[in-house]
Amino acid sequence: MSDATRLKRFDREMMRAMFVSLFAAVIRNKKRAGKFTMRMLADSLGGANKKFEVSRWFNGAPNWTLNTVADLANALDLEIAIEARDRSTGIVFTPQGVKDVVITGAGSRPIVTQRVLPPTFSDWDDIDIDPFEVMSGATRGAATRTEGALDRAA
Amino acid sequence: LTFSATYVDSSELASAGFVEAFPIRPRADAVRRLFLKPEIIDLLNGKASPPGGFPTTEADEVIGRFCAGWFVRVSEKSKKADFERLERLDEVWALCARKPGPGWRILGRFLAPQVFVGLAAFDRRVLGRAENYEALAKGMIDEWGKSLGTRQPFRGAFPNDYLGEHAWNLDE
Repeated sequence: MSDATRLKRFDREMMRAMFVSLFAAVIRNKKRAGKFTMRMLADSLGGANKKFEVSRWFNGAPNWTLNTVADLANALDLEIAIEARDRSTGIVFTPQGVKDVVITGAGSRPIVTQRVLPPTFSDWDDIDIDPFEVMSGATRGAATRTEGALDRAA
Repeated sequence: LTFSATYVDSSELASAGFVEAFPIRPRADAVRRLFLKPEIIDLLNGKASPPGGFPTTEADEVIGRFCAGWFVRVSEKSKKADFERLERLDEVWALCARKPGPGWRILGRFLAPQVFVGLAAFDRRVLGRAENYEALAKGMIDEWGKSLGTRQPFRGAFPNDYLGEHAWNLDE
């Protein structure tokens, strides 16, 4: 197995595990609080999901569809928040754009925390393009704003 | 590792011949720590001879999940756990890479909460039946003494004292 393949497979497994781990934490917490059972979760998910199937999810590494993730979040009354960090730059993205930027000084002491605005439609060269182009346009706009914010802070 | 990672005096482990093992993509927010003999790390990376079928996605993933502080399945009985505390032995645990079957077991002990020290890795087929498995696992207690002298393994309430809040006990 090449290093690239190994890493790609690892990333897939960890992505699955992240969701299983997330929901397991919620279920554990609800069980501790009382009045929550796997049967109740199975019932909330609908008749097709028998209790043993729901329990089995947490004994393995299920490859849930996004619909299943959404159904679980719905059944557990959760609002899912998602963000992604660019490994090379450290910039954190949310569905609203770039997250707050923390500029650190000597000794990693935060000296500035600044909200970087999400891109507006006017930032995009052309909104009548496919979604992936829009995403890269948004990213470009946000990145430009980040650089501007950093310059002003400096 | 960040400030939230469990503190342990790694010089003690380094002088005993252990090195810290990281997932193939380490996370900045890791909370658990894994120390292994270099030969086990070589095995997991497919650099040992004979190679033992590594690297495997499953072994990479269980180590990734453990170090990240995510959900791990734990048991004293189940054959599906990521971590087993072996019955009738004094604090000997198995970190289980079960696929491709029958997989491998890294036998070791916890040095501190969320700090696992792997002493030896065994092909599950070599461990064989219960009597042989138990004899080899019992040997880990001597192995620990050879490496770490009189240092006692961590002892606590099963399983959360060992693995934190995010341990899914399959025995319940």
